[in-house]
Amino acid sequence: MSARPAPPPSVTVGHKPKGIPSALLGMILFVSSEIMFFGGFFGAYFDVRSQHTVWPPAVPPIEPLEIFPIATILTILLVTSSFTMQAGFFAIRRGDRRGLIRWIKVTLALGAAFLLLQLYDYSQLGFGIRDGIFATFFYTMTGFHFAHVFGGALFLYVIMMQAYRGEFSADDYTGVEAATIYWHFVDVVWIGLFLTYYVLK
Amino acid sequence: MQPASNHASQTRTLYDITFVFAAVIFVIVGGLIVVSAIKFRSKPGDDTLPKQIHGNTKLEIVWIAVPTVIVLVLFVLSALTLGKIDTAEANSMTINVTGFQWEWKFTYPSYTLADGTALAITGVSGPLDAQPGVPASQWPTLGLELNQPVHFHLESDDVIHSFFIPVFLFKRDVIPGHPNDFWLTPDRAGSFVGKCAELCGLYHSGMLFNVRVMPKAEFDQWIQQQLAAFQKAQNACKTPQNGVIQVVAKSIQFNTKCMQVPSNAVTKIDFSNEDPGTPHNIEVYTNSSATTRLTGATGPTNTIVGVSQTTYTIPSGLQPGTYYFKCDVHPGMNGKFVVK
Amino acid sequence: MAVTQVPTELAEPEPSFGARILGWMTTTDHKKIGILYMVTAFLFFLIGGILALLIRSELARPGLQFVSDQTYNELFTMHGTIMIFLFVMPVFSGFANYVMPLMIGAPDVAFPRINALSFWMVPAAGLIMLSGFLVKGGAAAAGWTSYTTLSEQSAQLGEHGQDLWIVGLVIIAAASLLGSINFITTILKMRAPGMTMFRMPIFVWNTLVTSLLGLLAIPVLSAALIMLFIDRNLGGSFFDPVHGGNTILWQNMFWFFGHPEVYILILPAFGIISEVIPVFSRKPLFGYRAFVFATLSIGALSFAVWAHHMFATGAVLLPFFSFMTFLISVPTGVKMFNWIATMWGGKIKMATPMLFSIGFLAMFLIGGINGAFAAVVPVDFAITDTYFVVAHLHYVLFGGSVFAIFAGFYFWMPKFTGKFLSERLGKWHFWIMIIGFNLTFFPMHMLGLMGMQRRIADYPANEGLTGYNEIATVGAFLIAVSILIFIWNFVSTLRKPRTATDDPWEANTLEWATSSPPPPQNFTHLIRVRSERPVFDWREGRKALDQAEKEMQP
Repeated sequence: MSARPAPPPSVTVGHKPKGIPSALLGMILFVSSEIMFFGGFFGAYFDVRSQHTVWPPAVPPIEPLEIFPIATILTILLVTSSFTMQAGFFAIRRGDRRGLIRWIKVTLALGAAFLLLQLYDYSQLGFGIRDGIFATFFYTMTGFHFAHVFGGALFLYVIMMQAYRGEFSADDYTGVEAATIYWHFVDVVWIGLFLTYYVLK
Repeated sequence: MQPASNHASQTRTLYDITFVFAAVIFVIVGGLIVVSAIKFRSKPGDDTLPKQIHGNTKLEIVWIAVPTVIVLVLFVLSALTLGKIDTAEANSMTINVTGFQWEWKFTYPSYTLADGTALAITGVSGPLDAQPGVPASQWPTLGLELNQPVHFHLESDDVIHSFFIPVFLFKRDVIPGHPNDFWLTPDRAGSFVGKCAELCGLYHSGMLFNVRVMPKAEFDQWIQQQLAAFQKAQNACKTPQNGVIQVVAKSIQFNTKCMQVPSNAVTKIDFSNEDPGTPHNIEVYTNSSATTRLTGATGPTNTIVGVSQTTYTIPSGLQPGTYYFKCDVHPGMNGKFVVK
Repeated sequence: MAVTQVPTELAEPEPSFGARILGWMTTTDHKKIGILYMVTAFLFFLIGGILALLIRSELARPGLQFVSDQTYNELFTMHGTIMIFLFVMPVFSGFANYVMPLMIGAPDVAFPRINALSFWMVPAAGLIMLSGFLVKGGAAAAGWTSYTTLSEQSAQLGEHGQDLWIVGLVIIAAASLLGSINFITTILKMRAPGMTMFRMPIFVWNTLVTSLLGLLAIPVLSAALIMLFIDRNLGGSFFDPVHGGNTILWQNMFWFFGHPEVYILILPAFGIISEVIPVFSRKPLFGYRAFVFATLSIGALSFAVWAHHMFATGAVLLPFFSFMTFLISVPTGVKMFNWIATMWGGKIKMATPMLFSIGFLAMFLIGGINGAFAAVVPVDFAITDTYFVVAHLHYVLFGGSVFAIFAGFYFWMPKFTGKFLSERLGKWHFWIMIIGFNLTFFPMHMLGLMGMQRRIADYPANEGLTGYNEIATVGAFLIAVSILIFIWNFVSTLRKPRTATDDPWEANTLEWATSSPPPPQNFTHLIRVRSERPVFDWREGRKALDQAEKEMQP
């Protein structure tokens, strides 16, 4: 918390607490900027792709990406984790802090599984970031998504520790809501990546 | 700037129209600013408030509507002229323009040597101020025929340049991986200057060329001179100096079309690839269709990615005769290899 | 409502020098952070200005006299980058930080610690960028737009000035992003009771729209910068056509950010001018709502005009972008007329802030009109990438933004410090600057029309370019003189006693409803707002009341 002394009551009175909490609004704005960030990558990807008749380009030759099994499992993991996080949010809205902690644990486990499996997938792919434009796009976009999942997981971990310390209740769940929004966002980005790289070949 | 092409005159007319609009707007709006700043200064000692006007819907509609009409008119005029100048012209002579750091190359596919090689005009440009500087007489010269439509095809191998001839009131970027085309007809004879208008690195300011627009007879004569000079340059064979031939690959082009080596001595070829990120090599073949390598290898050998250098060794004792060399990556880069 | 002077310094002993430095370094007070932003930005303005003087000195005559081609390329690259990202953006962040919360009656911004973080990222980023001058190969030299593939070449030579440029910009992008989130949340959530959206001062509206533009445009720049970094250092080929990339992609991404960025640089200037002109004309802003809608439509349209920077590439849809470009000039024109109508019929007090505002109107008028030439596509083919464009962008960013910055600074200085800058020196500053500015940049129109292209270290002696270049160089040094006068004015003012009252200009907005300078939490009493000009209404109401009382007495 800020070290500054609290403002005199007369100044804060009238600054309406109603409406969306500032922290939540801040998170929504942050997520919209993140959408533009990934939007930049997606736009760039489709721009370059439209310049090529063969995609991925024939030179250098790279092994095609397989939708099954790893990519599908990754998708299932992350989509499921979105639902478990939402369940945690519903729990705290009911005032069930233990439920929140439990659901965050499940979400974190799914998220960790996603990250580990993604790393395994990277190790199994027959190409690296230097192997042509397709590979560069693939590693850049999934890599930044990976970093965002990792960041989201840290955020969830912090929320969980706060919950252990007794924060959050049926009236005070802004932090949980912000974390949930962020987690849904990384899930949606993954779905975009999954469609781009594995479905719309 | 006196325009020197059919399109330039149209652009110039459009510029003049825009200028009239601009001048009128500047005088009216600027006048309003000056008048209001002078006329409505408060008198000393006058502390009363002026009339508090918050707005006037009618007036505001007027000054939304009037600028909208003005910009629509300008847009239509601009689009009409654009349609005229940004379009292909019939019966045009094609000139391929290649920009590279920091020179230009102009290739005339309609004028060829006996062996079919298109006339290419190069020169020296770049450091404008190095000691000694590059004088205008050494810049490459783009020769154009008066009243003959020209089709410019622009390509770059390294970075983005912009092909700019001020008297034509036109420029078009020269972009690696994105060839551009435009057409115009020069309609004023004379000598002009051409420039690179997009920052392209160290000697961007010196990337200049001469433009000569000539009547037909003079142009034909000029072309013949250029062809003769080009032929001479093509025939000139590089011979070893102290057992070494230096070959440079730049802009997907060797700096020689012929190498001549002795059969009784070892010759080294110092090869320098100056195309950033582009692979080149020099391979000698026994025939011009490039099926049999002199060294007997089966795949591209000693390919280097620029900017870098390597050395090839030509053994002594080769059968005297005429062979061929080329870059395995770019079949267009080739020439004669003579053993004497 | 009566406003009493609040003692800002309590009877505590003066803190030691070290404690004061530490206090500034750890502050989360929006006003102190605002001042830090402004001071930092001004220091970068001086650095960028020195680079500009070097550029002008070199161009005064044909031939290279002072610097090499390489150094010259570094100079204009860093000049552009510094002026845009390290001066104009941060200085407006400074104004918005200081003034905006006061204007809406808030005690601080929504996230004070994030605010401090985003400030401290700026000098760090600036130092990283400038350190390029010390590394092998020098600083970034591919222009502030750093077009590929030129901006990728130096990596092959093991030169990393461009990488430092990328890292610096990514940090600035992150700082601006956090700043945007902070400002939007503050404006949407922390307005005083009665401060409805349509009672907000135009400066606050423009800060809001600027922040929205930053929020949505800057991430695309970050993405592009990261791609450039990957190309340079990790073997990528996003922008390298030889290996399957697309080099025009960089321009599309850069200008998708870059054109909203132009409005990020000018909308806060519009905001400042819209505060200053009504105060000194002693009239309300003419057409407040039209003004707000003009700002909103400029914000929206700014995302659809980026490719007008790329007409000469032959790779964009010309009619669409030309049309949108013409369209965006309409709301800008509306603003110009509203400002003039605000002055019209007023009783103008010609103090220095007003002088700079009128200078802004005149210079921005030229900057708008010469921009129209570039929107006419065939004419753009002739003038793009020439000095005509250099003239245009300086009429907008110097004649526009910088004049507005000084208008705002002379205007708010009494609020920042309780002290007035000298009017006499201020007028000298103004007149020398506007003369120097026009001497520098007006001849550039002619140079551009004569075919002098941008970003050249040197030009041939026989093209008749020398005379105009000499004039431009003289003008540049005149601008430098005016800035020295400003510095002298500022420094000598700091040593003067506090003479400014709460509301010395008889202004309209809430920052004048508290002491000069304001106390740590801005207001000592609850602010209630009932109109667009609360301070005006209180003051005039009080005057009317005094008058009535006087008349009641026999």
